[in-house]
Amino acid sequence: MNSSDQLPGGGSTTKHYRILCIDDSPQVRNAFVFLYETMGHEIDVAEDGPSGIQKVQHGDYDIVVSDFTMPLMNGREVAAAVKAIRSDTIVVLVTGWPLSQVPDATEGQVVEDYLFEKPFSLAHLNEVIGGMER
Amino acid sequence: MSPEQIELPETRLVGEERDVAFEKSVGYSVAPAAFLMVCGYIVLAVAHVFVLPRPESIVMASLAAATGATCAFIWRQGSGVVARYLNSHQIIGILTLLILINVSLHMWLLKDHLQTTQFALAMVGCGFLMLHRGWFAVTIAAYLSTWMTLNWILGGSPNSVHFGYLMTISTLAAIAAHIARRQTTVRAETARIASEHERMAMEEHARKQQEHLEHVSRLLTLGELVAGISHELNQPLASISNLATACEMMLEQEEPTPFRDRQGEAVKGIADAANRAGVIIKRLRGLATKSSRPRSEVNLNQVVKDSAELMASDVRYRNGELRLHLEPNLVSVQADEVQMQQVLLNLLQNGFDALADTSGGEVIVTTSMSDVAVQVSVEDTGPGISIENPNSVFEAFFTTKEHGMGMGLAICRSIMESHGGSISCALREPEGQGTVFRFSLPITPKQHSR
Repeated sequence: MNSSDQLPGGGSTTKHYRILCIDDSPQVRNAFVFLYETMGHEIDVAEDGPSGIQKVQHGDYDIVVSDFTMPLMNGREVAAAVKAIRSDTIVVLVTGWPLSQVPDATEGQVVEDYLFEKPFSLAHLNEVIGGMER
Repeated sequence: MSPEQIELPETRLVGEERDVAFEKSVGYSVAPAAFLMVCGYIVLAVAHVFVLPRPESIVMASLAAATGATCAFIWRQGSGVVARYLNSHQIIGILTLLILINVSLHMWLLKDHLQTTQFALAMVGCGFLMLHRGWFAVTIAAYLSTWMTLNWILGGSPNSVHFGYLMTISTLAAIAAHIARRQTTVRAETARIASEHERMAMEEHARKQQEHLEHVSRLLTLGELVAGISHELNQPLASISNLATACEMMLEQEEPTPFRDRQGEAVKGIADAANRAGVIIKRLRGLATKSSRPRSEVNLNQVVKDSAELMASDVRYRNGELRLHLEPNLVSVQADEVQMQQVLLNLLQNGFDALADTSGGEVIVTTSMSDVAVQVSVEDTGPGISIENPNSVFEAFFTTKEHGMGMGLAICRSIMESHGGSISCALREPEGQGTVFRFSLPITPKQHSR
């Protein structure tokens, strides 16, 4: 099976994407890089909100995957900032808490495109990519 | 998880307990008989003074009175009080001495050997009766009265006749009293022993309730930590998940790519992540225990570090900074490690709770020791306890939280007390705002060297 034709778990793509991973845990960042670079995507990482926003300003990412609970800026603030810079970047928020415990968006405005429970897996990425290619 | 029912023993005595109760009842009923005999002897001795008014009679009467008084005193006080000053051998010795003096006087004065022997034996019998020697005393009393009665029937001196009357009457009275009192005393003893058993059963029940309560408290703490622990566990799990998927993909690749041969790296990453998850889970081991454990040498510095690690899984940990000032040469103490961790965790949670509405707050844990005790203090830089008597936080059902049960600190106090230690709460005085909890444990002498 050629990795450029089929994604494990279904779905197919010929495109490779530029993905930014923002997470305060080095374990999560390293594993993210390891897996998605193996798949052929271009991966970049940031360890907190502000440095992630900086990268978005200087770079061009198709997908931004960010942790929800981080010390300096939380995921929602990151999502809002990214959308302000480039509104067509897909923003995915990943949370360690059960979805029912995630606080509701302020003013009813949902800024992110996707909200998943941890861990962020290949199936989640397939769903995002599937949505992008429709 | 429900506590066991109290089981009361059957209220019937068997074996040894029954014998003791019976013996006591014999003593209770026969001692008055002995007193009667002594009185009888005194009456006779005094009567002698008037019948044969001689100086010897007076001396005898006085001695008889003295002996009688001693016997009466012993009987009245009971062997308990007298036993504080004299043991039973000494008491028997004193009585025997008095008896011998009486006997010698009697023999010398009246030259009536038969009568002398009779009442010598009677006095010996009285002495033993006074000491509640039970069966032995009853035997002597029965023997003497039989002998006296025979003596009287077969003829003898008038005095021995009177003695015979007295002995027979008092022995019969004793037996009657004994029969009447036996049941009462045995019943009293039974009730006493039954209530003793009941008291012990209740204490055991209370102890089990306390254990149950502590277990429930630990489960609640576990519940509070679950959200945090699951959040922490997600990190190694995400690692494992991604690395394993990457491995899967690498194994499917036919053509060489820069990444294809990194399976070894991936597998190592998976193993490391799994170990990290194991460490997180291991922190919980203490909290899940149900029952009490034996005490062991515990170094409180280690307990503080373990509790701090466990606290790191708690949501509230984000409220502020944790600082530790640990005494490097801290001596170990005899304690239940899990209970100590429970206390510390409770105090840490309360400390971080206090910082909920402040920023830049701190929780500071300090360990120290003196000659006799090891002390741990947990202070926070929050708003401080705002009630008059800070130590009333340890009362059951005291809580300032909406969903709190108010048992955490009460349990802490009972844990400290069961270790022979103490716990207190106060405002942080010299530094200003905040609350400080201090608890201490005694150092048992043999642990002085580490």
